[in-house]
Amino acid sequence: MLVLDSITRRFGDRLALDAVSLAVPDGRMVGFVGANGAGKTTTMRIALGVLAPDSGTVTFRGTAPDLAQRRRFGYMPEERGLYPKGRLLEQLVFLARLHGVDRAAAATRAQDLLDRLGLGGRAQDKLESLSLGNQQRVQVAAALVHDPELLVLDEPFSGLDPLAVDAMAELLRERVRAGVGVLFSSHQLDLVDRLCDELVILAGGRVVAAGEPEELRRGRSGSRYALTANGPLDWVGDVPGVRLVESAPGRVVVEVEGSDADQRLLAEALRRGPVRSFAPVVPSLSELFSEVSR
Amino acid sequence: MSATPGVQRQWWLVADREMRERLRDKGFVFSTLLLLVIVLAAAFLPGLVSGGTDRYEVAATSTTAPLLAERPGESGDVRVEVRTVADAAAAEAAVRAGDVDAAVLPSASGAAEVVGDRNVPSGLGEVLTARVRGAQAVGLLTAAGVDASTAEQVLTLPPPAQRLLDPDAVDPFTTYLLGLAFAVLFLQIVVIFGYSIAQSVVMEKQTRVVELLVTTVPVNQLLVGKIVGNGLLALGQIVLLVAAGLGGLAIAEPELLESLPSVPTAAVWFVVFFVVGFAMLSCLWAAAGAMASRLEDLQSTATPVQMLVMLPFFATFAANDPGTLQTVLSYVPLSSPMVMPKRVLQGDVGWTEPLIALLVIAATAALFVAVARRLYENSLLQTGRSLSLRSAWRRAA
Repeated sequence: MLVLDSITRRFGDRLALDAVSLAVPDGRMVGFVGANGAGKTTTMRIALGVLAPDSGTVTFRGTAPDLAQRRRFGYMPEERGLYPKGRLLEQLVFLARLHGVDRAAAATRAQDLLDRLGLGGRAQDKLESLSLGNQQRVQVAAALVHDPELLVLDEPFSGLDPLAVDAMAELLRERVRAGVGVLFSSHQLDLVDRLCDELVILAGGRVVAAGEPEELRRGRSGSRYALTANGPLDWVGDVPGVRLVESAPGRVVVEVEGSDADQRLLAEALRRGPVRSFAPVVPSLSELFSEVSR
Repeated sequence: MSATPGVQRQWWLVADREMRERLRDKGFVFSTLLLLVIVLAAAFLPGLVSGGTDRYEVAATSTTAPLLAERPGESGDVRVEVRTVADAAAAEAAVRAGDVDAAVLPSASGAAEVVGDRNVPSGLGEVLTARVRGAQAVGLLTAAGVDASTAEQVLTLPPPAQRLLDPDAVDPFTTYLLGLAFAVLFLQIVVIFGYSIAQSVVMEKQTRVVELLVTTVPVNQLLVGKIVGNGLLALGQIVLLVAAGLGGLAIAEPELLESLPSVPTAAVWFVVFFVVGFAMLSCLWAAAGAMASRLEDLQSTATPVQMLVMLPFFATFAANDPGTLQTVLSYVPLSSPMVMPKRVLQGDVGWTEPLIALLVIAATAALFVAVARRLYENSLLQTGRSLSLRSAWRRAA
C-alpha cells in the first residue's frame, strides 16, 4: 500500500498541495480526479519521489521508499515521455534495464507487451512514425515493462479510442488482480466511475472526497428525491421541509429537510392522485465532482 | 523478475543509448567523414600542389627551336618538349587550340617572344626565358670571339654558397600550422559534441522523457552517462583525425616529421588534454541544455559556454610565438588544451609542465562539474521556460 500523509507543497507563494492524504492499497485501482491545476500531477510526482514535499510523508508498504524501491514503481507522466526517434523495442528495453531488469528478460517482456497492445509488428519502428493513439500504448508499455509493484498513471486514457481504452483497462485490471496498486488520474469521469475501486477527488490542492464511488454518491444522495406524478406538481414547494430544486411538467426534484419530510411529501402526492415514481436521486460522478469541487 | 537494480551500471546504459543514437544519426557520420577528408587534404594537398615534375609542350619555328635547348644547371622540375612547326601562324593556332602550353616565336625586335593563350604557366615562363637568354648570350659571346665552352662556363658560374648556422631548427611556420590544427580540432570537436550533449538534454526535457528517467536514475548518473557517451565518441573522432593527420604527414611529408620529431609526442599530449578538457567543458554544456526548455532556447543558454571555448581559442592567436603570454595560456585551464601541445611541439617543455597543466584542468573540472550538477539538477524538471543562471542556481531541489 502506498500512503501519502499530509503532503504539503508550495511553489513560491502558491500553495499547490495542502495536507493531502491518500492511500493506494495493493490490488486496488484508485481513480484520481480534479480540475486542471488541482494538484494531481504534483501529488503523483511527490508519490514517485521526483519532487520532494515541503512537509508530510510518503510510505510504501510501511517504509519511506528508497531509490531501489521506487524503481519498482511504474510511471506514466501526463505529458508523456519517450524518445521520438527511438525504436519501440529498443527504448522499452532501455527503460526496463534502467529499472534493473536484465537484458534478456527486458527484451522478452517488451516484445510481449507490444504484442499485447497490438504493436508487435512495429517493434523496430520509430516512435514518431506511430499515430498518437499508438504512441500512447507504447507509453503504457513503458510504465509496465519492468513489472512494477505500483503504477502511477497520469491521464492514461486521454486520446485513446474506446477499443484502446478497453484494451488498456483490461491490461491494468490484470495487474490489479496480480496485487498491483494503481493510481490513475483522468478527466473522463464516466470512465473513472466504471474502472476504479476507490476514488479521490482533489480540489484546490485539498482532498475533498475519498472512498468507494458508490458510497460517496449515496452519502451525497440522502436529501434529494425525484417525484413523477400525473397531476400538476406546483404545490410541492408548499410542503413544510421541502425545497424545490428542479421542476418540469410531471416531474420535480426536491431537497427535503428533517427525517419525515419525504414521507409527508409522498403522502400528499398520493392524496392528490396517482404517483408514478418516487425515489432518492443518486448523483452521477460528474454531479458529485462539480458539487465537491465548487 | 524481482531483480535488484544494478545502480552502478545505469550511467553506462545512458551512455550506451547516447552513442547508439549518435551513431545512427546520418549528420554525425557525415560530419565525421567530412572532418576526416579535411585532415587528409591538409596533409596531402600541399605536397601534391607543390611537388612533382611538370611537363609542358612548347611550339617553336625552325628559327627559335635552337634557342630552346636544355641549359646546364636547370632544376629538372620543369620538363619541356619542343615541337617544331612550320611557321608562327601554325604555332599560334596550336597555342589557341590548347595543343601546346606556349610557343616561342621570333619577334620584330630581334629577341624571341613567348606566346601563351590566356597566360603562360609561371614555371614554364621562367625556364623558357632562361633558355632563350642563355642561347642568345652564348651566340653573342662566340660572335665576339669567345670560344663556346668559355661562354658556357661564364653563364653557369655557381651562385654564392649558403651556410646555415642552425639548419635543423624548426620552421616556425610549420609549428604555427600544426599548433593551429590542434587548436581548431579541439574547438571544433568540443563544440560539436558539447552541442550534441546540450541537445540531447533539451530533447529529453522537451519530450518529457526526463520525467520517466529521474524516477529511476539518479541525476548524477544521468549526467555522467551523457558525458561519457558523447565523450567516448568525441575521443574516437579525435584519435581517428589525429591518426589520419599523422599518417597522412608520414606519407606525404616524411621529411617534415623527421625535422620535427616532437610531433607524435605532441599529438599524444593533445589527445590526453582533449580528454580532460572535454570532461571539464562538457558538464557545462549539459547544464546549458538543462536550462533551456526547448531546442530554440538552447542558442541563448549555450552562448556563455560557447564563449568559454571561443575566447581562449582566439587568445591563442595572440600567443603564436614562445613568450610569457604563451607560457601563461599553457597553464590557464580553458586555453591549455590548445596551447600546451604546441609548446611540446616547439620542444620547449618536457613532461612535467603538461602534467601540471593537466592537474590544473582536473581541478577546474571538479569545480565545473559541481556547478553544472547543481544547475542541471535544479533545471531538469522545470519545463515552463528557459531559466536564468540565477534562478537555476537558487532553486532548491
